[in-house]
Amino acid sequence: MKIENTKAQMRKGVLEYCILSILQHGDAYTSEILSQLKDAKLLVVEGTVYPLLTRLKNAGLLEYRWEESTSGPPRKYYDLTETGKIFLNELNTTWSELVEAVNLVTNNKSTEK
Amino acid sequence: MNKTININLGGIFFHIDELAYQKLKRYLDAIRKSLSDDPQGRDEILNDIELRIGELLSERIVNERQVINESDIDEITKIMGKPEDYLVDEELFEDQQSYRPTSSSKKLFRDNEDKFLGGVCAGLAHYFGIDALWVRILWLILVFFFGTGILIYIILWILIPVAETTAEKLQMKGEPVNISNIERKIREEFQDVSSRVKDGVNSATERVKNPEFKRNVENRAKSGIQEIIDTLGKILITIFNIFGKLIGALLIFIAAITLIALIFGAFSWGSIEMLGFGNDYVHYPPFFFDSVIPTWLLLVFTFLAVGIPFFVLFMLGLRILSNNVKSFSTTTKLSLLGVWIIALLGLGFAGINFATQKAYDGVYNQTEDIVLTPTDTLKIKMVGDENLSNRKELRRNYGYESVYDKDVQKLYSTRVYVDIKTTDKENAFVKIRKESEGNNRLTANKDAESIEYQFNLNDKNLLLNGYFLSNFKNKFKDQSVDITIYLPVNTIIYLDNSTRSFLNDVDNIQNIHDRDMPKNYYKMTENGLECLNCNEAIFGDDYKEKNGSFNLKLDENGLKIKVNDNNKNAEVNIDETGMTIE
Repeated sequence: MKIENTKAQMRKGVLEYCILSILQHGDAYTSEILSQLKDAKLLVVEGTVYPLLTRLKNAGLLEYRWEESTSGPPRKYYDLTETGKIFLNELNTTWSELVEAVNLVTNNKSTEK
Repeated sequence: MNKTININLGGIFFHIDELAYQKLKRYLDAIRKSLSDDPQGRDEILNDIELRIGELLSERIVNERQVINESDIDEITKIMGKPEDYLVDEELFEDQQSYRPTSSSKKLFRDNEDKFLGGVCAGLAHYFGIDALWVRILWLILVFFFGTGILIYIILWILIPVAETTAEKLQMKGEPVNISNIERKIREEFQDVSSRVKDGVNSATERVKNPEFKRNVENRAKSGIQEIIDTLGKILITIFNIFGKLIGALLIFIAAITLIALIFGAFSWGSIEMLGFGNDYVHYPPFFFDSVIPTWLLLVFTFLAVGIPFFVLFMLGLRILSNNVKSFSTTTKLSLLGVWIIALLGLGFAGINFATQKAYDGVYNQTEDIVLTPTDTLKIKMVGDENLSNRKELRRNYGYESVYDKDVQKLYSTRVYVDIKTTDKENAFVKIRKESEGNNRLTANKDAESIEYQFNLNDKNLLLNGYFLSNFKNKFKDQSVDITIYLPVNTIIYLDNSTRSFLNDVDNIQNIHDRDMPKNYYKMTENGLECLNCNEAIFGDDYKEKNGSFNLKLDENGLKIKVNDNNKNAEVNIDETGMTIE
């Protein structure tokens, strides 16, 4: 088992949650989402995000609109749908539960030692 | 110096040099392939990726006349990631099937959780969306009615991978297979192949049509031709791959048929042997007889000598068709080779053994007097034994039969040759010459002597056996019995009809053919037998020409009519000199 694979797997798991979280403050176009994720060091390469965005959109959690750009190709602006917002709320609770649980487990282990 | 190409990425125009263009195209193709599990979302994702690449490139370009080169593309691929990175773990989305119904297609895996043997049936059941029980019943029917079920099962066992990860297990149980899905899958496969061929052809023709190419032909002839050859090579390889698969399928087909035949042969031979039909029904190759190596071992050798090469062919075919099949380990390869060589040597040894058994001819002679009263007519008859052979008619042939004489298995043969000759001696006698082959003169002679042959003189009847018996192991030693009846001059004999097929070149004055001789009376003269009551029609041509009462001959020399009646001769000749009458 490669450590790289596990790391990538962990990151991919939270990626979906993070994309939705970025959009909760308002719409953003692809490059903005990418740069935020990159700044947070959640992303090594951009490729992973495109299929995720498409699937979230197909799942009805996201919607998008086109906007012309002066410096380059037209931009795709993504925004949360109503279902997306509900979905995100649920994920928020799950996430805090998960963090608590993981902390509990990892701290327990360190005290035992 | 590099050619540049104009491309459109997300609606923006770019100058890109040729090598960079090819690199970018390869990259996008690789992504397209790694996303092929999701054909509908794929185009959208690719579109997004193209847009992003366009965006990244336009950030890098300061001057509109700037050309994108290979290093730019390298930078971009570093940012975007390798094609594998585009694969989203299926598990993340597996529970969302309700709103993306077409994005996953079912795959055939073996089901290790619900398995009977290898999980093939359960896997097929998942694939077709039916209960595994039905598949198993179908398989049993196949096994009983055609027997091929076993072999197909083994092939599938080897070819189909087992579902190991959760993703694979879910994929195994995925959406039901319906006609439109099958059709879509086939179309995709076909498009993949045809687009590869088309791409190859297009890039080749593009090169030829390009005016720049023509202008630079002289300088670049070498590399240009080389590139065309490369492209042609790629097309050839694609075509060759398709043919390779066909050849692989053919190999599997041929090898499988041979193996099935072998297995069935071995099975039926085994049951016949066990049920004790034995040698009457099974025809072994000649050298299986009287061999130092036991028959069953020779059969195993034959099975291995034929079976192993076909098994190897079979595995080869499987490997051509599927990369899943692993090659044999070196140990397996070597032991297969070793077993095969041993089997060949065994068969070769048996062959040499068989050949040497026939190396020498052996003969055993015996002579017996028969007492005759000179005035008697001797009737010569051939007799058979109905208790031994089940053939209705007694006649000479080259076949053999296995018979039981007092519960001992023996060889029954009718290779008996009868000749009648004149002798100076006062008494008639019969000479019996028995022949056999053997691996040395002594055993050949002994085998010849062991041939059982009898005749009887009963009143005025000479009863010759129309058959002989021998040890069954001597089946292929070309054994035969020659009988010569020596008669003093003036003895009168009658040949019974039963002698018809046994007479062998009997000398007679009238040149009558052996098969016409029976049912007539003959008198022994110094020059052989003379027929006393024969119809002239059966006389030989040579005799008729010389002694016949009427003879007409028409050939290239002319016409010749000859009449011969009680020492009065008349002859008419018509030839190129005219007509003469004597």
